[in-house]
Amino acid sequence: MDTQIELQISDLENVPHGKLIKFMGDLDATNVESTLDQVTKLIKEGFVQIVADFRNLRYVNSTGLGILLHFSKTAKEKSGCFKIANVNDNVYEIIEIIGANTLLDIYDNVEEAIESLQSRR
Amino acid sequence: MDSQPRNEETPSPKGREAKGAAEYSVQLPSDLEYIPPLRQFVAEIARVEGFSKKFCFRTEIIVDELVTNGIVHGSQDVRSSITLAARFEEGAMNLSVQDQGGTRQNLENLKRAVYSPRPPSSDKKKGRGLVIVQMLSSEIKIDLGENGHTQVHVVKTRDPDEARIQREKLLYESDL
Amino acid sequence: MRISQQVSAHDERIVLLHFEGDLNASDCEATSRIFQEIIDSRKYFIVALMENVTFVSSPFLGELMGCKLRLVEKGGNMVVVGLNYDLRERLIQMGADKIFQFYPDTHTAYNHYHWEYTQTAQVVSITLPPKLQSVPAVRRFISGIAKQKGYTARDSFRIETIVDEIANNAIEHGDSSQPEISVELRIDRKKFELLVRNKTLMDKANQLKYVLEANKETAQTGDTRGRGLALVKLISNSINVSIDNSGTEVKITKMREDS
Repeated sequence: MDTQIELQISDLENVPHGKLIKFMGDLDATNVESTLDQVTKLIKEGFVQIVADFRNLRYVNSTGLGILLHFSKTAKEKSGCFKIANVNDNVYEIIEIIGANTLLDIYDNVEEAIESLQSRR
Repeated sequence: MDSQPRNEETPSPKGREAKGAAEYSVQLPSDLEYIPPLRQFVAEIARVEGFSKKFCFRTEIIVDELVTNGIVHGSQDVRSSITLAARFEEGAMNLSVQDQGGTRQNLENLKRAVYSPRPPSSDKKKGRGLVIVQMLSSEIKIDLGENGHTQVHVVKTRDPDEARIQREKLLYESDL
Repeated sequence: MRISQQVSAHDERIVLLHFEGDLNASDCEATSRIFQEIIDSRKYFIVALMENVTFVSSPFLGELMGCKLRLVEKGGNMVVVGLNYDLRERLIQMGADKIFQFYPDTHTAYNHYHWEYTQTAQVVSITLPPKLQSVPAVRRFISGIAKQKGYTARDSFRIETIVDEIANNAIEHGDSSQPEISVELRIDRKKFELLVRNKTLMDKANQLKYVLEANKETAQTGDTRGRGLALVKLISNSINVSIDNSGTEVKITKMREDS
């Protein structure tokens, strides 16, 4: 299956157990599986302070949102967090309709999300 | 070779000048893999028919959610297919998605999701997709055809939607 | 744990196994026995339905992995459907993602089975109004399906070219009163067939048949469309044009390049 999403994962400097994940493409029912696999592996390795950069996430549907809420819940259970930055207007509208904007930690940009992580410590 | 621009901001002139309605239909296997190219196809056609980029993005998600629903809850037979019909008029898009019918319980769930006065809360996993469809469309109804086929019809009008969505979003948030 | 089995109503080679409740170490023996019964009845494809599973213990997962290996040795397979995210996550952490394919619904699992193990073509039919502006969306839709189905980028691009040329031709040379044209694709693991049907004036249809079916590498007409059709001939494996009172049908077959 040709997946329409790519996840680029890199370290977050000065944030212990931190990772930055760049989501690129469309997140939907055909690729939640591979997304779950990749993010779960990070969490398993102990990286629970996660910032997700949505600058290049063009599209998300209700299934995709389901998995984002799941990541947020799982990270919190492990005393971490799953923060989202750079959400485009179209994607934000869908998040808002579902009411997930009150459940997800959303920031204007990656820097603000990282700052909030550093001030937590 | 046609070179219709894809990413222009203004409505494409062809769609505006078209007097009659333009009708498209697609029949495809009940298989989630077809959804990404299908939803992008319908959104692109809406663009060709003169609708705004915002309208097209919303169309893309409406198609995604309705077809996913038809595949997961309305396709009991392995050889089931989904039929999508889209009719574009000057002021609106009429979309219908037909599946070959799920169980009685599937149908009850669908009716509840489509006709419930208030969307379910966001921590509920099922039914989120139809909440999105309800919020982004002007009208939605279910028709039961022969052989137990289920058809969901959606009308999405051109512009007045914007104000209504904004209003409903505020109401919904105040409920949470 | 509750477990029940039924042979699929659609394909008697497939057995559906419904699992419910907690899958504990104490359930391993019963499960192993059920798998052996299924294998003894010469059925080697199992869809494990786990929507109502609430817990999977690691010994049970190990047992399932062993059962899957027994099926694979017989040329079969087992896939998992409907497991919730929390349990999926737990299984991934135990390394199960390398062993099992997970599917969100039975349909997608069935379709994968047919795609992999039988040569059943999947069919997509499209009707559109005869306007050239719609063709780019149609050609991208069809090449998008080819990509999604694992065809290479080069194959998908060629398929896009074929759809573009044939659909444009059907619109440009079609009867001006035709209400719609239809495009059908039949795709399987090894080949791709495109059928474009429309109403064409008889002389145009015959000209098309001559250009497409004649054993020539270049078209005689020399115009843009003629060159396009010549290109289609070069990149496809067979072309057939049939003409009757109901209209013209162009059928193009292209083999998958890595098959």
